Amino acid sequence: MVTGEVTNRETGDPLIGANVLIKDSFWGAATDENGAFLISKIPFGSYRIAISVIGFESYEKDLLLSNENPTVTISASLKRDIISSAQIVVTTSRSEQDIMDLPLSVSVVSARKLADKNVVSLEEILIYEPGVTIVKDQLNIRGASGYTLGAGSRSLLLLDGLPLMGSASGNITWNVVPTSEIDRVEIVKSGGSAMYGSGAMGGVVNIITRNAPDKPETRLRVLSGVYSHPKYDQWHWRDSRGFFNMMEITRSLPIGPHGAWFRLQRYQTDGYTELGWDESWNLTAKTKLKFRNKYSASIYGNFISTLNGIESQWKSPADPFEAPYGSEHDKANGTKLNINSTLSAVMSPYTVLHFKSAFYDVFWENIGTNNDHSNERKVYGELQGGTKISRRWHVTSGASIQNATIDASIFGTHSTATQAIYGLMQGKFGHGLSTSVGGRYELFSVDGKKNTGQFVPQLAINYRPEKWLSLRTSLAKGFRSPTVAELFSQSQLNVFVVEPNPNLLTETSTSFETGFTMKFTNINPVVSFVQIDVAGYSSRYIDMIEPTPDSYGVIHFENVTNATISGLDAGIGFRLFEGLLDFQGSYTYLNPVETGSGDTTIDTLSYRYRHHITQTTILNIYSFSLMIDSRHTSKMEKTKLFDENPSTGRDKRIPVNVWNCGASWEFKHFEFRLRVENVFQQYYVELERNMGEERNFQFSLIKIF
Amino acid sequence: MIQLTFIMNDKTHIQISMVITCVVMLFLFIMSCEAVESLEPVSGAEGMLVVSGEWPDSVKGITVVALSKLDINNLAENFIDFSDVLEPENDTLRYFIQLSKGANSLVPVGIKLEPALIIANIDSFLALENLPIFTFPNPNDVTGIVRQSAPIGKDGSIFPVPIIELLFE
Repeated sequence: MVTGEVTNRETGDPLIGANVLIKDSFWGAATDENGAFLISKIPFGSYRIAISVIGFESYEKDLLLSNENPTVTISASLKRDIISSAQIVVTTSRSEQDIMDLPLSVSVVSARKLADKNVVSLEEILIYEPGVTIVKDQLNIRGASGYTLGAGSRSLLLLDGLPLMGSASGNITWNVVPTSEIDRVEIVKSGGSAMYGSGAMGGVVNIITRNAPDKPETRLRVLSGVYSHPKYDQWHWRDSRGFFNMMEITRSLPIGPHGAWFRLQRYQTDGYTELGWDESWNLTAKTKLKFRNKYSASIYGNFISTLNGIESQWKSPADPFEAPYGSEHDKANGTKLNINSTLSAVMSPYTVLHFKSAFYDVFWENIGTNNDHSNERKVYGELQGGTKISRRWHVTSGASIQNATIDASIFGTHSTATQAIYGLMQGKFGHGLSTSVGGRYELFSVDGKKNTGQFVPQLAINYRPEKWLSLRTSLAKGFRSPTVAELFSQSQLNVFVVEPNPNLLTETSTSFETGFTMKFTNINPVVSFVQIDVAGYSSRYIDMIEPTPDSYGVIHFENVTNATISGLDAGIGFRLFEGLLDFQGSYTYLNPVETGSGDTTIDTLSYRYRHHITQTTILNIYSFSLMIDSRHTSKMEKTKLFDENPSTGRDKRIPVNVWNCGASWEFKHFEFRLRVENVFQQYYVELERNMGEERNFQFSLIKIF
Repeated sequence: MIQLTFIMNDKTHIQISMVITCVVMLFLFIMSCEAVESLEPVSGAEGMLVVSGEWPDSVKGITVVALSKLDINNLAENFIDFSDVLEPENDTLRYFIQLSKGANSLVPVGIKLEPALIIANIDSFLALENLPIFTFPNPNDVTGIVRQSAPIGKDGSIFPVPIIELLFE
């Protein structure tokens, strides 16, 4: 039996809800309201215990249970730590792993970081992560997706390990993500098809939602903000300033060993452009049930109702915040329902089974100059098992099915089905060497017509010659089946007609990555923490699907391109003077090129940035924090629809340099946050004829009852 | 090997930390002020094109072309840019053409091919000096005002072009 308590080193207060795990097994517990935990019925032997809680340094210790010593008591006193917290991740192998043991590049966004940046929509913070950019709501990890008119994504968004995207377009609806209820966000930057299948070939973002705390709690969060008027008189387009407001209330309830939380959110924004207005109601709930320390169940539900303006492009470069003539009243309304559930059974200390299911119902309709509509339903089921088959080897395997139907004015009526099996073997050898070998076989069909099955293997190695140094390398195949939107879209985009191409083939990729992570703690009184992560990578795409205007100006999605995206990620985080100063910075270099049959470079891929730099600097003085963060991208070298006209400056593109600053103050059960985004009012365009976000000032108050 | 030992109390930590932070922030701020390039108001001509009457089948669209010199016999040579395209199912186009400072001329033209085809291949058409467009008036097709000058006095100024009306008979 292992028992103990976990406390905050600075205050001595108990830490509630800390994860306590016996490494390489499924034994674990969470600390109660006194910070205490108990793990019983552990056979005698040598183990290593790991304790982690968001916002604090993790803790590990070897222990020995024997006849002479049947009970071990642990007293862990954890130091507050924003940068190096969240060291346990689950996405790469579908089981918990220390971030230093990972064979793939992963970065983690903690709940504290989300709170510090006053985030309402997740995309607002992802663009400050190394290697992540977003072009008009479309997620790009290391430039994998570019911009595909929202019709297909090469990066997969998961919520608690279950796919969150709509199956028709593979596109992301960011406002369904409950940002204030997130425990952490894990970003896997290497290809993830071997574990997660189609859509994950360019990486995975996994949102881990929090469980209810061990005592009842009501949290009220109010956020209010205002957009500046445009800096230039010529661009003024409304008399009043644009406001945005968000109010949410979350009630958390522990019921014996179980727990639940419910959240209601109301969001309203005037937007910074004429059609940027948006209003929504969002109801989210999660319950976690535990039975006899052996079985657990988690049910998550989200319903959102939205009404918003439809932005396609600006009126003209002379009036970049206004809507085109005739479309001033274009709007869309919609509803989205998502229910996820996971049932887990610990069959033995070394074997666990999970049954996961998800249901989605998505409806939207446009009102105005176009009256497109769509109704989509998707069901997903997965059975996953994990077991330790020997002292060195651990196996994770599973099978999943997904069926979706869609009835949309621009796609027609279609159905898709996916069946997959996957497996991953993780081996741990002496001298810090570990490896994972696995693969996935997936069948995909549209309207009952089966495409060729895809098998994608993955081999990855991690080597930790020293505790502070981790080396990694991986080689993986990836694939992505065309979405219904890419196969069947028939629409009009400006003067361009988009026509269907039902003959699209699955695209495939081969990705190689190698990198290292160095982590130092308590170096000297000045530098208390340094983490450096560097990775070089190259992905070769075959039959890449891209929207391509033909010589008649008609756009089809075609397998026209072989492409190579190679580059380098480098990130550094450090902490000075026991946390008084935190810094995180990153640099990403991309070389995205379209290639011919003989690897000759034909052109640069569109909608990718060659250079991407981010930094976040935080000064913490007791309960006060001051923050400055920024992102910088080089000029987007190529776009698809509207080229620059150098003689007149039409559709000019420039590097993006956005600076933000903020301050926060925690006082008893109150948190006050001020933030200014785009401080210098830089005006830039990421997607052609769509102005980047105007400067805005926001204030938020969080009160915990 | 030199090893530095710091003996500080909390107050010293705070002071040093604040100094470092202020220096870093000031540096970043100054760098940003110096370096940030931003989009600015553009100059150009804006106006409205109104077409009435029944469109001939041969006309797939009408656009307004900006020329550096009003020489309708050498459209390709003097071509600067063109506006959005008015398609046959509509009768009014509000347009804006971004132009540099100086003298420019605007000419409404009929498009013989699908508008998207011209936009997608404009560079090729210009290289061949063979734009698939034709100017008005064509005595059989159109009457009305057909040409305007659009002088751009300074950067950031918008020249309001009088309404151009075309009538297909």
